[in-house]
Amino acid sequence: MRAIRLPRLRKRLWLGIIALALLQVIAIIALRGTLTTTTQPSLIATIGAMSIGIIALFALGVLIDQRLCKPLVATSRGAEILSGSNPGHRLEVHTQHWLGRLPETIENLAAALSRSRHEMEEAAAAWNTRIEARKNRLETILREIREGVIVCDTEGRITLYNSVARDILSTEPALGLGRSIDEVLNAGPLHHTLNLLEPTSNNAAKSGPADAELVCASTSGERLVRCRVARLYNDDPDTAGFVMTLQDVSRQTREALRRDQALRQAIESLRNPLTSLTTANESLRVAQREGLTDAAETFAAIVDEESKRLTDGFGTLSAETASMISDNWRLDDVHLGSLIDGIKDSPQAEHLPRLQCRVDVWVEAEPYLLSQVIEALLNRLADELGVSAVALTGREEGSLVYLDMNWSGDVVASDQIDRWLDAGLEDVGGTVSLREVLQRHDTTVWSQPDLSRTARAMLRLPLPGAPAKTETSTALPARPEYYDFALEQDAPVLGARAEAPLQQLDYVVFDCETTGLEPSHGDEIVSIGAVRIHQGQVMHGETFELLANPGREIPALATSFHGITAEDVADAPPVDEVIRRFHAFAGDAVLVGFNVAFDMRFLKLKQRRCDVRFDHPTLDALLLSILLHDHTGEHTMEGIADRLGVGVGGRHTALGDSLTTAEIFTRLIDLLSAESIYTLHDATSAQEKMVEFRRQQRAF
Amino acid sequence: MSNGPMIKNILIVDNEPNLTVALDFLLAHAGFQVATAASYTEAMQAVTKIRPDMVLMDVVLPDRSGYDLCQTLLAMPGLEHLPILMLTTRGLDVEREKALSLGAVDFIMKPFIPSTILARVQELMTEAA
Repeated sequence: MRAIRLPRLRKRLWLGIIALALLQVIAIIALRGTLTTTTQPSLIATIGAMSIGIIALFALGVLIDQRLCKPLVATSRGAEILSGSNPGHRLEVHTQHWLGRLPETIENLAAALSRSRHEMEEAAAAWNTRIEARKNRLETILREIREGVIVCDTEGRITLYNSVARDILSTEPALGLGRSIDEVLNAGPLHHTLNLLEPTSNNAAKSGPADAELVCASTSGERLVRCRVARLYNDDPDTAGFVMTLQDVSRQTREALRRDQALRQAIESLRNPLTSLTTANESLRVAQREGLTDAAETFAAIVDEESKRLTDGFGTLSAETASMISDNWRLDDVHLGSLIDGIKDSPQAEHLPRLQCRVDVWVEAEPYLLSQVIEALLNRLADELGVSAVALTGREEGSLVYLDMNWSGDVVASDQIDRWLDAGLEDVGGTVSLREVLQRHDTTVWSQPDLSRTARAMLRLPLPGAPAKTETSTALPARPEYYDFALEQDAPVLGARAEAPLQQLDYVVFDCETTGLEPSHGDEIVSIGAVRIHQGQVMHGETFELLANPGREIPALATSFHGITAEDVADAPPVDEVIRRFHAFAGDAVLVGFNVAFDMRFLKLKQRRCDVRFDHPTLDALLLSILLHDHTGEHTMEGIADRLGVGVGGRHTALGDSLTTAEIFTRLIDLLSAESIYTLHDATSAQEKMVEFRRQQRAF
Repeated sequence: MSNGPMIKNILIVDNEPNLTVALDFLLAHAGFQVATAASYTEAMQAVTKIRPDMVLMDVVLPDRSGYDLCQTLLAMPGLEHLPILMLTTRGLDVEREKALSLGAVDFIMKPFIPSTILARVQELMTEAA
């Protein structure tokens, strides 16, 4: 059948020729009917001529088809290919045709089209490269800039922020892309400032102040930030809005207030003893002059007592002023081994003893000054004791880290170390002494013999340790699959989001670690972890992770699941506080979990006490996965992650599980569309059916 | 006035016992009759007993503010013109203004030299006489 499907043009040609031939055949048959002896010779001649005409007609048809129709059809198809997919295509036209220069002209046109397309693509690629370079530059600037930067659209929704902003506002769980700035910063002062920047009818557009500064508190009240705000004017609503830079002034402000108060109190505390002292002294003088021995003794005792009070007061005052000086330094978590490696690689290393370093501990320190102190001590060992090699070891003990600098030789005398400590650090202009740097780290240094080996001595420098930064990852059995069907009866209202495409919704994927499986029998949350999904992207920078103090013991079985011990949560905020903070982090996003009913039950039982409501729409990655892959019985998080090509990290930590679930969930969204599940309503309905199905499955 | 026309009663209100003892001694030595109180409450009890001719008091008292005591005393019948000398450890200039506005005759910052207090007390007592 396919063989006789001719292009329309050729079909019409042959239909026309066949019709003409048929007419001639009919005419011949009709003429044969009128055949008589008188007309016979001329008729036979006519029929013969007509037969020859039919043959000629067919021959002409073949010729037109070959020379005109076929080349035209081939040219037309070729032109389609040229204009569409392949500009380099050669027209498949036989050399003998009646189309003149048409095929060449079309090929030339196609070549010109291809050239201009190529040029356009090159220009577009160049633009893309430039835009990409600018974007990279902007991203680098935003990353490196020491101020926090937040960009919002005209509605006040956050469209961009840098890591410094995240650090400054780490107390604000609501900070995230797509969230309102009002959930992060105190709305009043910010709106007032934005209004000042708004062009009014009196001040024509863009002629108002370019930017303005304000100091405002974060929503939680835990941070005080200085912001500089500028409006972004643009016809494109996607880029219009405002940009703000942020500096954390809470520490400065609080410190300044604390210092002022401490200084004032310290000075006032000196006034009374000083007054009593001078007055008693005057009384003593009078009593002595008058020969009143008893009175003189009383006042001499008062003078003694007040002198002591003065001395104590002076001690407090001097401690306060010392802490004021050192409070200007900020202590960071520093890897001590890396810091010593830095000393080894520094240009000054040639003046130091050979260093052998086995230090893998974290300390809380001002890294630059501490490295200067260690370098200075090593320098003195080489210069004054002729030490040629030093072995450095780091050891954690309680809250301290002991840095031992160990060499072959004698211990250093205390007064010699004192002299070293009193010297100024050359690199900071000699204005800060080693002793001051060590005091700032609440420590000192001493020399002692190395008791473990003979003829070796060491300098021991205790430093404040930093919280452990190592991750533990051990394989543990999975949490049993758990449903709380009763919970689903209280279905949340989806509202305007019901028909929103799943890809466009904001989600918060979360996980709770608990003391057990029965919240109604006193089991409590010990940790909540969560991560946001914004426009289909897992926002690794927007996470929530808090340990909670459950106010009860954590059974060993639970600890074997999540590794969290009573000691870990001893200083953690209480569960209610953690739930409130999680509620703020979640905002109005759709909540997603793995076996989410389990986690929701813990939250819902606490919501009244915490004065919050968890009436968010919820989606369960486990149920949706079962819905999509019911052919397989492997419904553990690892099994699903493996099937969907998701790497599993930090299993059985609340945040680790949340991140894995989030990656699973974003892939599930893509797969759900194949099952005609596009909207939140589709997904929740499908999920409810799955719940019903599992319920029936359980009944059997 | 029951103690005779020449001897003036002075009440010291301060919860610094060493200071009140020493001031008591110095003022007594200078010829004044001195009573001491360590708090607002003790001061109010003392006032009913001795009818002071002058009060030296600290701004900060353990139970109530010295300013309250100052106002209460000046509101009592017969004490409208009582000279009150306020002593303070607070270093703000506005404190002085506040004390004078509330009726104190003077405001002296601690620490002070005892002889200046004595001179000021004698001066005020002479004025009153």
